[in-house]
Amino acid sequence: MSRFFSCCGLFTMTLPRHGEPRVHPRGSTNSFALAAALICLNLSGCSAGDRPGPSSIEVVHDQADGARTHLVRVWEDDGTTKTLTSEFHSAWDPEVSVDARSVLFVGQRTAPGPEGLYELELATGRIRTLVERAGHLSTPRFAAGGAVVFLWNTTGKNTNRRAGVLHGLPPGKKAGPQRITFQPNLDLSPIVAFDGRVIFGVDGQDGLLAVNWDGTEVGSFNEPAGADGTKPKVPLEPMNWIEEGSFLLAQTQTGDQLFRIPARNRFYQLLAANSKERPSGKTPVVARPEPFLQPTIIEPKRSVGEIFCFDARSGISMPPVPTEPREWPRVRIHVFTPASATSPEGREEPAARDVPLAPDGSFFAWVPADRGLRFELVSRGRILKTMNRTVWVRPGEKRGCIGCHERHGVAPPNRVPLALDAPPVKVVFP
Amino acid sequence: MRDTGVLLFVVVAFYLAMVRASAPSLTPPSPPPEPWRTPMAILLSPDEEQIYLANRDSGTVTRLSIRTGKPTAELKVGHWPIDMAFSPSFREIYVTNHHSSTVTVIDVARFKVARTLPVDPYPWGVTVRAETRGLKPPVDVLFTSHTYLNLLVKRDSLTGRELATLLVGRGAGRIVPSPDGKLLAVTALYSTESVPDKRPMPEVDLVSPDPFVVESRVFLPGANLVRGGAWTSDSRVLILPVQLPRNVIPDVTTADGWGMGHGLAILERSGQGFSVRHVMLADAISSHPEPHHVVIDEKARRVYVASYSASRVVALDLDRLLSLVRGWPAADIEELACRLDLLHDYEVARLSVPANPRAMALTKDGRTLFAACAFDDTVAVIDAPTVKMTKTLDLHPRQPEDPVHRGLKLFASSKPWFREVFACTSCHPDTHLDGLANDLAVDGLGRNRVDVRSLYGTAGTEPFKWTGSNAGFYSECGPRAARFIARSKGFDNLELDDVVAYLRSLVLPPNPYAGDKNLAEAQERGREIFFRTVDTMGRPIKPRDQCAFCHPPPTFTDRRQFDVETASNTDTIREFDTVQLTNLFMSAPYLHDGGAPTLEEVFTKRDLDDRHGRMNDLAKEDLNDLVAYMMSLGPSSLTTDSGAKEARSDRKGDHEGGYPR
Repeated sequence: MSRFFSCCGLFTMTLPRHGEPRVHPRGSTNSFALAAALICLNLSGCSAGDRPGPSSIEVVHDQADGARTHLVRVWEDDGTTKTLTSEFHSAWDPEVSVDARSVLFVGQRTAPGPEGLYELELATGRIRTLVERAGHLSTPRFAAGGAVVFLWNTTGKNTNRRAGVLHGLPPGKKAGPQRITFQPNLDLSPIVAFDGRVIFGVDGQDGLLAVNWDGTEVGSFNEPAGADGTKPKVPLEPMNWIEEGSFLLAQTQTGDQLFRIPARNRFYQLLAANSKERPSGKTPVVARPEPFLQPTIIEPKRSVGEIFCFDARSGISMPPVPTEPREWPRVRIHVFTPASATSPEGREEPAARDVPLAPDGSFFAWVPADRGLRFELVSRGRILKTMNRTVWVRPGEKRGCIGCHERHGVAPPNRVPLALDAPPVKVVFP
Repeated sequence: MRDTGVLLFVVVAFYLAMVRASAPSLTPPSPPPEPWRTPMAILLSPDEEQIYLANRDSGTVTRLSIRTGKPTAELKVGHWPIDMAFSPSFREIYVTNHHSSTVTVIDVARFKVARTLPVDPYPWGVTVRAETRGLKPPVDVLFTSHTYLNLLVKRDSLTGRELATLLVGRGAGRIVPSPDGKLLAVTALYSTESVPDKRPMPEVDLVSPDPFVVESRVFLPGANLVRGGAWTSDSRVLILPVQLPRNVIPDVTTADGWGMGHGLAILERSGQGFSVRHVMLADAISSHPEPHHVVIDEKARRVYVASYSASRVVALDLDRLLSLVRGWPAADIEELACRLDLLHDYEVARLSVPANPRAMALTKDGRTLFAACAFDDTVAVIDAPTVKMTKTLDLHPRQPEDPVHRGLKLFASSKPWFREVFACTSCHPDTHLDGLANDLAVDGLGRNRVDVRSLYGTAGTEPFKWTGSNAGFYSECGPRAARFIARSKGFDNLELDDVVAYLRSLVLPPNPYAGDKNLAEAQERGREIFFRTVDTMGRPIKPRDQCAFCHPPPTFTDRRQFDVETASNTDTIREFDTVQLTNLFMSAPYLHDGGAPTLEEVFTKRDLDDRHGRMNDLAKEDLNDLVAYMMSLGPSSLTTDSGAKEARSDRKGDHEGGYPR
């Protein structure tokens, strides 16, 4: 408190005098020098954990018990180290905050004991508990606006520590963690882009997905084939951004292939497995631009979202449209209900719902929120095409897509889908 | 001990603060701020020694020495100078003054106003060419475009007298003469036909200057706000900066080209006409919004684009660009206009420059590019081969910005918005309108399309939004709008103060339909109809059906919401805020959804049951007179009470600010 009041005093010295415009330089040179000196003096009592100089956080195995790991801060200038999580049984997956003042990590205070998500303040060494619960936690990331995303795996399967269901702690972190993905497969290794999007892999599926910090606007991140025809056939997981966010480094889950994906057009570039671009495993303690915050538009009181599509037939060779409207092609929507206390693995609803297409191939529907949705195009009892990915909408979210098989990296056409002329088809489940 | 030291420190700090506060000022008083110039057009002298800038807000033209980097002279011209052109001899500069309906002719050698030519209202584009017309030596002929008349006018350059007139696209803008002298490309800001649920379709008119005929009208499907472009030296290719909006689809997201797009229109001679291809100036994570100007350097095979709201100059590879569009199948040109993964093919470099580059000029050797930065009053000097800014030339000493100027820059900046895909000026160019109706997802998908409104003279006409649900500027431009329309955090509190200060400062431009003193005869008849209380058959008109009941002077809005059955079949909202009727000549189309291209249609096709006032008893000539009167309402109406006290309604509800000045 005394430090606060003294800094207030210093601050008043630098205020412009009455009548000076706001944008005029504040204070004379002499006042600034005095203030700067006093501020340094004032703050000289800070802890040794915040000493200046380039440093990084490393995950180091305990010498006595190699199964345990700790977070150690290493200063590059003189190699001094400081163990940050000595009070924990084990700690891993560090993530430095955008202002480089704190570190998120996953840890276990005691063994056996629940895993938790913690935030360590580098200056003081204080550790705050964000989440503690059963199951595996991994890969915490600072998202836009101070939100945090992380993986939580309670399935007991795929014990790879970078797999789980993406959860988010909203900005302010006062509300509990909320699930933000709603598909049957596990999510892999999330990473946050400068525009606030969370990029992650999906177990068992090609390519990468992107989603907002609140789970809205899920979509594909990448072009599924490289410009040279290279097409990864195994799940990918993001690793880190390189070249100031211009490229995303991603690897196959087995680690045998490394890809460099330009953020601007997302064609894959295959690198050698031992490429020097592979991350070192150290997490630099360095500030970075804050990811762009898109405020949430979720309406928690709604149980549905809205989705429309320009042309579900695009990219598909269609038989002639039948004359009878009831025989027109339709989109069949399969709904997956995620895991709950009574259904640990989630379940697919037994009955799908059909939504008829308008003559231009469009459809417009209200769909259950916070459930996985998978689409099929059916015509005259035959399944013409199945969408491999599961998508979802959050409560009150409104989504649009160009088609089931549109090329990624394409903006929508500027024309009104015919389906929007009519009320939406309501796809509801109990 | 430590606590004592801290306490002593606090005491000393406060003492020093009090000493400073009471000390007399040792710095000299600041000079009064210079007026902001806002350079909108730039010319490079043929000897490349001088730059000329048309300054919108100061109504001046500045001559700036390239060698010294300093202004050498400034000349008062008209109001809102917006474009400039050299005469063929380079002895004169012609400046269109958008708001004063004049063209100022500057004697370059003496840098004095040689003459001021009265022209039709709202001139924008200008070019001068020499024509022989059977006379020796050739004479200079002036061409001006007029935005709200949709005209291209050929004039005598000495007197401004009209020689011939052609109808061109809606919102006529720049004139881009072809190098071979055979064509004038006249661009248009707005779609030729305005239909709320159809994509815009502006035209580029390719005009032969002599004989003065439109050789072809090239339509740009899906484009809007077509601005100043450039020809290749063989006059075969014309590249124009355009907006590629997504206004008719719900704005469910602003990512991936959904909310707004920007790009280039590439017109290339093909047989007797021109083919059109659009390419986007955006990729998966970034955008170059609001391209305002294009310069082509054929030696370096480069195209330079000024991205106005991103404050950026972008260099493109001309050959790759042309190769891409030429190789694209004609059947898929609509897809080409939507591709976000191709920019990397033709973008060479991007460079941040001071605020809002509006126009550019390139030296003949292609080594130096000058960009007029509108809201910084600077010219960015760019080394073209490396695309690096070497310095800026200031039109006046740097000065602090007042809230209005800060608000102007925020309004025109794409920085606060997701992936910088747009700025406020994307829909409100120069705080006016883009002529489009939008499907805002927050109001329902495919429902309640709303027309973009002009922001001129809106202070004192609160509430805002077509539903009247925004009490004032703070709610209109604040966090909720940012969240639901722009999907961004938007402005912080201080920034919002500045933006509101700016919007409140906007006044109505001049209305050419309003006479200096008295109304014309037809307008006077229209005025009587506007304020009538009995219809043509002598029957009393109920107050709610009298025009002036909802549209009382001086702003001609009672600022309330009514259902006058103007809702369309896709509207779920039926009551709309009464719109102010000032400067209607520049705000077509009309009604909440932009569904009435003309005022006549407001009272005919969109008012079949006489619910929007008592109208159906009027003959066509009466309607013409009424429209003539309504067109005259403008800034002068705000200061006169047209004597309709009996039609005023009670005004309830709060509002911010007072009536406009």
